[in-house]
Amino acid sequence: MKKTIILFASLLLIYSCDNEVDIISPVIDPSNFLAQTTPLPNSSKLVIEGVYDVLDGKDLLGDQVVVKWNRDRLSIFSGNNGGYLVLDGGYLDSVIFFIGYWRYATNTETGVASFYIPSDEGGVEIILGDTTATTIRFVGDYGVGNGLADRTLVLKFNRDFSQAVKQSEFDILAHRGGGRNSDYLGVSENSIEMINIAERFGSTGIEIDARLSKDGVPFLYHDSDINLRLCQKSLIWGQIEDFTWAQLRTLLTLRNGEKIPSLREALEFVLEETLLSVVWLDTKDVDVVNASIALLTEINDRAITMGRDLKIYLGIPAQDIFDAFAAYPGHQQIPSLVELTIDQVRQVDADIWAPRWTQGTQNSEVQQMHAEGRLAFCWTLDETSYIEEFINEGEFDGILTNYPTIVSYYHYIQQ
Amino acid sequence: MSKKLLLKTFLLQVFILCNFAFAQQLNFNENAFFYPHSFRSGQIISSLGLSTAKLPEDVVETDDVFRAPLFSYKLKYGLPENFLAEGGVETNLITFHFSAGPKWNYEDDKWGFSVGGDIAYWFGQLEQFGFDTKFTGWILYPNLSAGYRFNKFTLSLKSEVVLNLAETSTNGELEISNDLDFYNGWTIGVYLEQPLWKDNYVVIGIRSTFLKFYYPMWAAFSTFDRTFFIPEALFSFNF
Repeated sequence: MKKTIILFASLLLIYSCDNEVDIISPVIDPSNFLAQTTPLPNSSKLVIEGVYDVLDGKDLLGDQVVVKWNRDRLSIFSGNNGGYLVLDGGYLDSVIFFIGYWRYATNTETGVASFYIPSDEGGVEIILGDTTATTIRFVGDYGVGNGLADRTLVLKFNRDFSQAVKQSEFDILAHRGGGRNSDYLGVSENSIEMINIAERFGSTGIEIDARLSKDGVPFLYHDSDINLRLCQKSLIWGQIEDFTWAQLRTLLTLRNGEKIPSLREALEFVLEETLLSVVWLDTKDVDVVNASIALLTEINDRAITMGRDLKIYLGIPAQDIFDAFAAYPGHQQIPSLVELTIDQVRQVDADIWAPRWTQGTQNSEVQQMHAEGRLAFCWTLDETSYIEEFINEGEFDGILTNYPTIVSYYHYIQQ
Repeated sequence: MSKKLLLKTFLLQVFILCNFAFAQQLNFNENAFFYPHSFRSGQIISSLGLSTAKLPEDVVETDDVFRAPLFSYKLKYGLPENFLAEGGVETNLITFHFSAGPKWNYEDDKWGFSVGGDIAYWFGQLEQFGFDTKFTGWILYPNLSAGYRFNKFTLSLKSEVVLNLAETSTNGELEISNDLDFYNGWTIGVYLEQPLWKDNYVVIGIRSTFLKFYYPMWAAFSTFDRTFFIPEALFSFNF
């Protein structure tokens, strides 16, 4: 019997164990070299974008990569383990320098990376904004973990993005504001800090989760309860909607140290500080519907006034939220996205139909939506092989994913 | 004290007494399933069990202990020359896992050893809750076992390597051949077997799995390229 008790104790001990993940934050540009460089003008940035062959560094990146500027960084997307690089850059004389990090999206492998574009291999043309430049070559190196950048990376311009890609309005939507806590991106899901870096992963839009505090303030948070998956240890515990906004703001800290953002703060940040064009506002509880509608209407109107290409859609994931939305006066004029049936999409005249990806590409249903002037997104597609198939064989107008870097690669590499 | 509680206490006492009463007449070779003893040719021992697992927080997105029940039925059939054939089925209702394979046992006084391999075919299918997906796969499990026979119970250790041979998923009209790593990981389990009453043996086991892809969790479509520690607890009856 003693041994049985010991066995049970061991079992409890094992059950209490967690999977530990090694997180490395590579030290980027410790000498602050880039401060000596001049930022590239926007006309130069477009010249750099395209599909590149990997001449050296195939172990890290595979054979081809996509080079794409986002709001404030140069991103490189590969088809190898969802690998990507995020680089800051500038030019000195006629040489262009980039310093940043690489990372595999599906695990936590990372390291530093740096490049330069020699003056005679595209540097001069890029700085001048010469769009006919086709001999661009990135020469650089990368390190693994906290190691020095001692492995060679060379990229050579292969082609511009295809006309189909350039004309496409395909949306790459990042889950939870840009990524989940389980992706170990260094910032917390559904935080302003996460939204701030979402574009670096290729996102053109984000999905965020809204709940309502006890005193009626909508805020960003996914789960129904306060838990250690999303928050640091705190003095408050239980259902998150049982607390006032002041309590949540002062007593709760997100997993990576951020303050929990209100929905207003998040949407204003998207409007004023990013170039994101779509927000999928996922309403997690029926109570938050009316407050969300008021806020998204205000921000959408401000976006129009500013001439900003931004549209915020009210996400309707469940029947109770659908019922609340359908009962809202004038709901047909509110941008909305329905995850339910296409009949329900029609019933509330939603702008977007958004089925779960596990139902398949459903091309005939998507075509019906297009014929009615609606869009179709699918969620939440992370499987690399299916991402490739959905992009090549599906007709969705956007994909919600935890791996926007992988979606970006397969989208931009299309012929 | 309620009548129900009294009855439970009484039954528990009866079980414990029976345990001691028959402790002197134990015949592990007729009743132990996990302890790697010799089998007579044609001898059959089965084990019907229920296991639970703590799934990785990163995949299931909850920090609570999440239990994933898995029902299992396993059978061993004695063959000549210390060989035996083992087969089994595991299911969590949306997933079925069928396995079979040979083993060779060696028994020396109170020690028992076994070496073998199982090949498994598994499939999962879900056509509700927004799913229209199927997943099938083949897995190879080379394994080693060692056990020690105490006076009143046996304690056995079993370790196996998990190798993904093939897997395919179907999503709506799309069929994809996935590319899971061939080497998926390994497991190690400890199993205690003892009689509950007469020749009715129970098994309490804990198994640590270190796997990238945990097949009962296929519907989560985990895309992490990381090895997860997934502890399992097993309770089963031998007969």
